[in-house]
Amino acid sequence: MPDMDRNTPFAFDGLDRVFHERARLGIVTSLAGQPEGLSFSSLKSLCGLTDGNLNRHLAVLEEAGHVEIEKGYDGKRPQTRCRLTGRGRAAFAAYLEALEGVLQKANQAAGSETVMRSWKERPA
Amino acid sequence: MSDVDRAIAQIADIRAQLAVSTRFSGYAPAAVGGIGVLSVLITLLQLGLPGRFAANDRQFIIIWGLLLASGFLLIGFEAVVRTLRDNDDMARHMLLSATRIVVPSFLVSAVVPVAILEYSPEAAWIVPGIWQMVMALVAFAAFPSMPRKIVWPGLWFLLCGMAGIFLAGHIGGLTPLLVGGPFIVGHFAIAWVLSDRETFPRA
Repeated sequence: MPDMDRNTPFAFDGLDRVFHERARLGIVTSLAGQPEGLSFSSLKSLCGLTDGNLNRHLAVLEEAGHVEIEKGYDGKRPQTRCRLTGRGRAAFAAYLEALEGVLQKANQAAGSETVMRSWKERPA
Repeated sequence: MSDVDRAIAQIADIRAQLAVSTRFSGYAPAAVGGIGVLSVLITLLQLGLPGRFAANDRQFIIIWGLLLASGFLLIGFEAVVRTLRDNDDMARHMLLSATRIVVPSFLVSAVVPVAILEYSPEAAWIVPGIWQMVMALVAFAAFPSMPRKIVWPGLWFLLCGMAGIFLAGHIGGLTPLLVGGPFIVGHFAIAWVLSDRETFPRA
């Protein structure tokens, strides 16, 4: 695996497609700091999603085993709570690490481009 | 700061949030249970040989202070070793957030008795109560990264700390059970909580 990383440094295999989508990234990031999870309505307003969209993305996350959805009651009102599972937390931590790696590579590339540009634009 | 730098900083922030709210498995229940066993031994020694091990409040503070400090170092060492063994960046973040909770409390617990013994030794009887309340604060502060049962040892230490101060003030000094009882039960309770295999998310 390390050899593969060396040979294909820009393959970015660690970027899990389940997380690598704007709405799902918002959902998982909202849940990341909440060990007790969030209610469906809080999640909806935090992520700016419609009921249908949120349901669809939660289903993808639940199917991957990253999110657990629990239906219960808050007093007498029915409530749906969503939480990151232990597996989801570990996978999201790995995803963030991979994403950070991508950005650091981009930063390095931007840095070397700036050096090249200033070299090309230097006075003759 | 470029956009990329800002994005990297945001990722670091999200990882820190994830670490704070993920269960920290660095604390070893065996180490905490071991401190509980030592607490039993000290209490028995103080009950059996009060003239030698429980002669005055100062002696209580020194004996229990040394036990708690060595317990802190043992548990801390174990946590660092377990975290480094995992070789996981996330675990290191979690160790850092646990350190932010525990170290300031440890410093307060070490400095306050030293100051009291130095400048106001007649008030030494309040120290075990203060230690117990600080331990309660640590337990409550660690709640997001611990099994939810951690509130019980936290409550125990809080109530014992308050009751201990009232009782010691009423009796006019410390007794082996007044000091040892809360630490024995509290340490075994924390060991029980840490041995819980409850995983996140909580039920």
